[in-house]
Amino acid sequence: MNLIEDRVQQLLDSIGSSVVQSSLVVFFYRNPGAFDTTEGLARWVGINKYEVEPALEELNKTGIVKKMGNDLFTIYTYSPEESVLEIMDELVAQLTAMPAYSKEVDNGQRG
Amino acid sequence: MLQISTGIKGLDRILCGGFIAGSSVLIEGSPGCGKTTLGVQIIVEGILSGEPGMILTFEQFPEQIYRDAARFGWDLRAMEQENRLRVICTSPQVISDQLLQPSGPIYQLIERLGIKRILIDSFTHFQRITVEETSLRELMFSMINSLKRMGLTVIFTKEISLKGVAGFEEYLVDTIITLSYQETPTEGRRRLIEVLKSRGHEHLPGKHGFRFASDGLQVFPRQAPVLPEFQLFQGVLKTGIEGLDDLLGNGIPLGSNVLLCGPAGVGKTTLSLQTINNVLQDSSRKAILFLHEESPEHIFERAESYGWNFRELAAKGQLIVSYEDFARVDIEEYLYRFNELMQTHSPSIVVVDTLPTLMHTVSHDLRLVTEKIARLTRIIKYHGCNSFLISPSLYGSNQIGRFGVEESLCDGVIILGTESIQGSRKRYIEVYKLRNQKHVTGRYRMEITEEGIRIFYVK
Repeated sequence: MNLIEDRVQQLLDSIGSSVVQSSLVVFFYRNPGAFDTTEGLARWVGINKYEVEPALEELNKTGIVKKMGNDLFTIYTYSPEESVLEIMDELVAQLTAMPAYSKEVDNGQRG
Repeated sequence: MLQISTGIKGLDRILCGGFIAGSSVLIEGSPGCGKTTLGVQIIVEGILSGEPGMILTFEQFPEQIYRDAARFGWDLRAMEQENRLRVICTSPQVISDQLLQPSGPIYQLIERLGIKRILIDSFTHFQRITVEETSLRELMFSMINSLKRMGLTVIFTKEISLKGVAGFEEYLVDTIITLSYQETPTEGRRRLIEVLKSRGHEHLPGKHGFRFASDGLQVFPRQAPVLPEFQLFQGVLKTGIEGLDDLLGNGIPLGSNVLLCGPAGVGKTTLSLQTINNVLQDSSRKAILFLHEESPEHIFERAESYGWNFRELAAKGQLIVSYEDFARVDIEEYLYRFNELMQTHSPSIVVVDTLPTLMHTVSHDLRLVTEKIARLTRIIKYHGCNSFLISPSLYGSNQIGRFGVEESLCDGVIILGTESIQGSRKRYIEVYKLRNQKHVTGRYRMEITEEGIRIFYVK
């Protein structure tokens, strides 16, 4: 297994088991200009904001999304670090191929 | 005051040049009428002319916007990669918050990319923040001022109010464009565009047709009912048909519209084709043939049977053939394109075959027929061109034209017909009317020979 595959597998292990995180990653990947609050992003992906909030926190830690603003008004945007950006194509391809994603997620974000 | 092109030729004409740079524009309309497409096109056309753009979307996924734009050949992803565009999906709450932060990320992005045009799709979504009108008005006012301060041209879309009264948005913006539909008895739904307001510059009033073409919206402004004063042209156009120019008093005065009537099969189209062939013997001249019944191929074959090489004339660019199925003609769009063709080619003669089929879609309303024929003839006259407008008449009818109005709108009327002489049916021709020209009156024998039409009149 090379470094890239290794990194994809690591992210799959942490994200792939969560439909909410997977949905957010695919959403940001396909709509890279997304720039919204937790409530706004919850609306875009069609998932309860209480489930979206911790998922965004996790994605912020992985370096896929960037958190901006303050405690009163927080905005998340797609801003993967260079090391993450190069594996996003592969990561999204694998996420969308996972049965959990394709069966449970159909909120229009795939156009 | 700098006016910027919308990138849509017809819309620029309606706006008498385009928007004012740094102004605010509202595009309103009912669902599916094309608000977002028009907004995106204005952004794209700006980008293509060196003005980077931004699209803020509150409901439609950017991915859908990319896909819809691709249908018109606009590669928004590539424009984003080149930093000439940003498509941002967000919430009205975020934009409302960002307005209070001139150093916030959105403003930083606007500055960094040098954004000049911004589309906010749609303002209606700000009702998510509040439905209280005073607050919404204040919000929009702040947003417009904030973006204008940065020198941006701001384009809002808005779902149309069914209340029939102007919303506050209409008072705040500089330009209002309304998109709508009109049900017609023959054409189904027609798409219409209207500029209701354009602060600081003129616009052509009224509703104008538009449609989605392969490269975006095409707008067809109604020509002003009265075109600029045209001059009287000196001289005549010779038909080159034996006997006819003498009957006409040496030819047809330049800038004349001549109605060519008669029942089916008497030679109306042949007389027109023969005139075109003769006129185009001068290689500096051009002719346009507008067909609504017979196909160009059929017409070419018919011309060839008389030895007139229309294919070659078309290949040389002297003959322009425009064919449009009469059942699909949108007369407003047609008149716009007709005028464009006239401007492009400056023909010596145009032939419309036939006038009633061209008027098919408005034939239920004599007032519309009158208005459209009047405009058609004025466009031709304005360009100093001659025309034959072919109008088949009904057998046994005393009416000259099909509608009873075209003969008074045209400068000349030539009637072709047949009459029974000693048991045999013979063709005749009569110059019934020809303004500004002393012509010969009465009926004269006419034959259609292998070389074309021959008229038995000797001066």
